[in-house]
Amino acid sequence: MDQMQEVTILLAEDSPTDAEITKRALKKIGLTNKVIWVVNGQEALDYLLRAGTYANRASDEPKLILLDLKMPKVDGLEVLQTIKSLDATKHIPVVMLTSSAEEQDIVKSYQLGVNSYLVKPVEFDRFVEEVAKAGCYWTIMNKTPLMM
Amino acid sequence: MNPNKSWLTLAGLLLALTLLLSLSYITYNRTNQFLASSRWVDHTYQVILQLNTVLSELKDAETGQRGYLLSNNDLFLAPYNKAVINLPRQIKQLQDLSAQDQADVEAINTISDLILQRLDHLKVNIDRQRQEGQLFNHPGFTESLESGKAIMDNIRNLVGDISFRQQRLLADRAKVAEREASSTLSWIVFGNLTVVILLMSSFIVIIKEVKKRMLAQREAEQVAAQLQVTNKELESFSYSVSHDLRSPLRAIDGYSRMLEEDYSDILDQEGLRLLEVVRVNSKKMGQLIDDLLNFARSGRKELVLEEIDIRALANEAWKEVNAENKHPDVQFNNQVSLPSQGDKALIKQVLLNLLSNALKYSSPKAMPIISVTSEHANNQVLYTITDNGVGFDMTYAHKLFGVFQRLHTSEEFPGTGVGLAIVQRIIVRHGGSVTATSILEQGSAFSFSLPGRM
Repeated sequence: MDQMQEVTILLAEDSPTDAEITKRALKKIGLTNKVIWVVNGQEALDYLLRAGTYANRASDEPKLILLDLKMPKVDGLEVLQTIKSLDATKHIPVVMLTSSAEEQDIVKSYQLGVNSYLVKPVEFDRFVEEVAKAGCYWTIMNKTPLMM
Repeated sequence: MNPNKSWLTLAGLLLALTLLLSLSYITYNRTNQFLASSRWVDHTYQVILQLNTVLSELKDAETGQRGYLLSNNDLFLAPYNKAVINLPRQIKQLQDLSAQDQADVEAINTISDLILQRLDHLKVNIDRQRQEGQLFNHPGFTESLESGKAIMDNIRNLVGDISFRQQRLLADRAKVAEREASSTLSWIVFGNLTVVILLMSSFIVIIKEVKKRMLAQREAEQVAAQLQVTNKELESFSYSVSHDLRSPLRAIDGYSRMLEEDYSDILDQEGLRLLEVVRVNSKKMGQLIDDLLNFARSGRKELVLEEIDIRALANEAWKEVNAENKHPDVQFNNQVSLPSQGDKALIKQVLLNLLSNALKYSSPKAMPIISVTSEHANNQVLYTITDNGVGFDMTYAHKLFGVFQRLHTSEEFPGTGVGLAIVQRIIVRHGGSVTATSILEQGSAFSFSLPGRM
């Protein structure tokens, strides 16, 4: 992971501090140059479906989506449900990145087809470690079909 | 129901039962007596009837003899002959009857003798007429008739006497029977009335009690419903604690770290130390929140009961605890032999908490020894985790299992004081109990009981 990887990651996170920490964690493992940060579920869907302010965006298809669970307007579970129900987006790996370790949230996420479920640690060092592991795995190690 | 009232009700019901039983006994006895009385009445009638039968038979014999003496025709002897055959049998029957109640035995014996005498008399007259012809022309015939009449009168008188006495006896016996019947009747009426009153009052008491209990149950249901609402609220409360409280903490720790990373060349030693204090404390608070959530979850999670091999589970838990152990010479003795039943995940949490405590508080010793044992106790299984660690002062034993209660500072031993509270909550939910004993500087023993095999 020494050389910078040219991958786009969509980060949906309503807390600016959590977003900044996440971006920093991704930067530490060299996955920083293309992190698109949106602050709620509606914006995340707009980006993915080229709607609203993202109607004319460049063709930067995310290779990984990091979703917070609790967000204003449209929450993480709803975004997840939409992503996994649409042919255009269902192959993109989705990792839940959330403070909630509640059983019901984990069960619901897996029912909706989440690829990973991570609980954000309070400690910065462990947080970096978790995000790095997930980022590396889903963007570099995991193979997805090319023709999708 | 208060104990006095329930005793009273029980006593009332028992009394009613006793009364019913004695009433049945009395009724049975009195009915038997009544039957006996009517048998005696019947007997008296039989005696009188039999007397009259005998008398009329004797009269027939006499009439037959008279006819023969007058006409010298054998045809008239038919009633006499019949009486000669019948009378001894009828006299015997009469004597048997009188023998049954011992009344008038003497008089009846006298009558029997007189009748037989009279029959002899008749026989003598008939025989004489046969031999000597027309007897009424003979001298002494009139005397013979007179003596016969005297015997006959005697018999009549005696029969009259006996009949009279028997009638009186009959009247006496009827009176006794009637008295008994009426006293039986009053017994039945009085007894049944008492039984009815006793049953009614018991019934009223019981009905009242049932009403009271129904009311109490309704109240309990209301409380349960309220509790459910409160529980729901607590659940959403702990949910938001888990999500919202940790976010700012993460920022505090994250930004301190970023500051340290990006500006360590500008910050002096003291600045870096202060930053470290910030980070240590945010970490501590994060731990507190996690523990509190665990505690809340341990009380909320539904129990999934199954048979548990505690020996294997203790080994598993020890493996996890020992993974973070830095002491080189810890000895772990698993002597558990008895299985139990419970929620496997929660019981594992109990073992994890107790074993990590045992390790934590025995780590200062050169040779820490931690052992787990099992034994039967009052239909349950008692598991005990013993260590030879620093122990605690038994004066504060009651504070051990409270939330956030600690007997050591976190500088001495790290921790938030939730572990044992979780242990107690889980064990109590399983219907068991937790106890702890210790000798300062020698070690502690923590025991918990669980239901035995299903």
